[in-house]
Amino acid sequence: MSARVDGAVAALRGDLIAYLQRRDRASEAEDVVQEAFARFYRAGHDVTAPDARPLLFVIARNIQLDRWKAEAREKARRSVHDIHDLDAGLGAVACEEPAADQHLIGRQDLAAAEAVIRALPPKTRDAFLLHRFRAQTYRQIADQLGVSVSMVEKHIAEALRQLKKSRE
Amino acid sequence: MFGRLTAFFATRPRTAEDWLARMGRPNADRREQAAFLAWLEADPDHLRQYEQAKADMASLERLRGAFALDVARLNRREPALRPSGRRLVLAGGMAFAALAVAGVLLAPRPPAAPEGRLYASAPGEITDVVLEDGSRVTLDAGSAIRVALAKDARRVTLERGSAYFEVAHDATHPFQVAVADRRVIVTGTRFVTSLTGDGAQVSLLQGRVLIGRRDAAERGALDGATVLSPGERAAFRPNEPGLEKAVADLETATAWRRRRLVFRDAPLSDVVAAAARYSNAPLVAADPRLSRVKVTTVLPLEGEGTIAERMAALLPVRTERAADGRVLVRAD
Repeated sequence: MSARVDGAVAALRGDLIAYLQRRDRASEAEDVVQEAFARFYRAGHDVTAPDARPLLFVIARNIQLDRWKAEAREKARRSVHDIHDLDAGLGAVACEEPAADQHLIGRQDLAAAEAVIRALPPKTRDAFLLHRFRAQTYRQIADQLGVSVSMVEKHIAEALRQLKKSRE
Repeated sequence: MFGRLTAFFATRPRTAEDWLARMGRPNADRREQAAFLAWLEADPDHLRQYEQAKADMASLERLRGAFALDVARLNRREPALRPSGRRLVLAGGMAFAALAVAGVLLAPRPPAAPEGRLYASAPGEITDVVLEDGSRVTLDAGSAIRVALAKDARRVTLERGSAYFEVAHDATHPFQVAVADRRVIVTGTRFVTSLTGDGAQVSLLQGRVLIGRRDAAERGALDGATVLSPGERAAFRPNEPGLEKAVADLETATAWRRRRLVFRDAPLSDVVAAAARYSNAPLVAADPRLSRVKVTTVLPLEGEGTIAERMAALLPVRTERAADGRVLVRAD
């Protein structure tokens, strides 16, 4: 693992723990952060990408909220159904969050996606292809196509919108 | 100030797709990230929508092959050049991979298959292709294959140049590569095919291939076929009987795939001729002494500067740019 990734993880981890502790002193922040990272990686995100920080924060917050709810349920359950505790066991409380729902585009959809991309206006199509298959930065794409960086972003957003529309 | 503020709000992304496009900017600042977090927090479903959009984007990876040609063209500032006479006809005894381009000039092009999708790499550009069955192909510079995945068999025709194959295993759909009049038939394996001025070659890295003359779907397709084992190489001439088996120099045969050229005791003139295929400016061996100096070297095809500059840094040669744009190479 590169130093860049290590550095990004360390910085994010510290900020996340501080954020979670501000929300709830009693919560096991370390534990929540651990789970947040696990879920983050499972969903295929990249910790050095610009969206890493907001995503980790909202994922951690969701995990914390879920734990609060589970605790509240547990308290209510204990008070009302104290007597059934032995039957219920741990499974009644632990409600494993399903893995990130990553439905993959099927083969027909893939052909449809190709058609959508080919039917895009030339600049939109070229910007999208360079972004997706060449991993070029918006700056490089802007220079190559002779447009502004924010125009490149608009082209990418438009391509994504068309792709989404074709799937609905 | 007010105007600036409205402008800022006007461009605030609203949907998961807008945000995905915004986060594609490598240096999204803290304010952008805060706005993105606010959007994620605004609706419990936003995180799911964003992750879905991102996963859909990732799954487009399988279209990489379908767009390989478009992307390659986009990255060449000038329109893609067709092979032209500026290339040199290579001498015998050349490194295997480097021979490939001569096929463009000398070998009669096989009749184009009526159906199938053409994948072609631009001159000077090595291109990776993922086929729909999951097989991976690396096309050497200036190479082309035609692919038709049918119900009975997966058929590929090597139209020109060299191609490296990593075939996805599927015993019910034999994978066949037509190289001139021969058929290389496999079910799952790694091998290189090449069409050259002198003929055609097949080198096997892993698995087993059979080389015959009949289509994989024909009865008795494998009768009389030649079996190739890993590390072996078969050479033949299109439309002539006979097929010669030899030990393959796999390092040399597949080096271009790893973006480098490997030469063992090769004359400098061969090195220049091979490098010319990866150079944007025409590269010319302008010194008879080049053929007398033999070198063993690994020439990187990618990296800082042009290939001519890398060659001059590595080998005992001098380069000089002529007025007409050609780069002349002389022994140092």
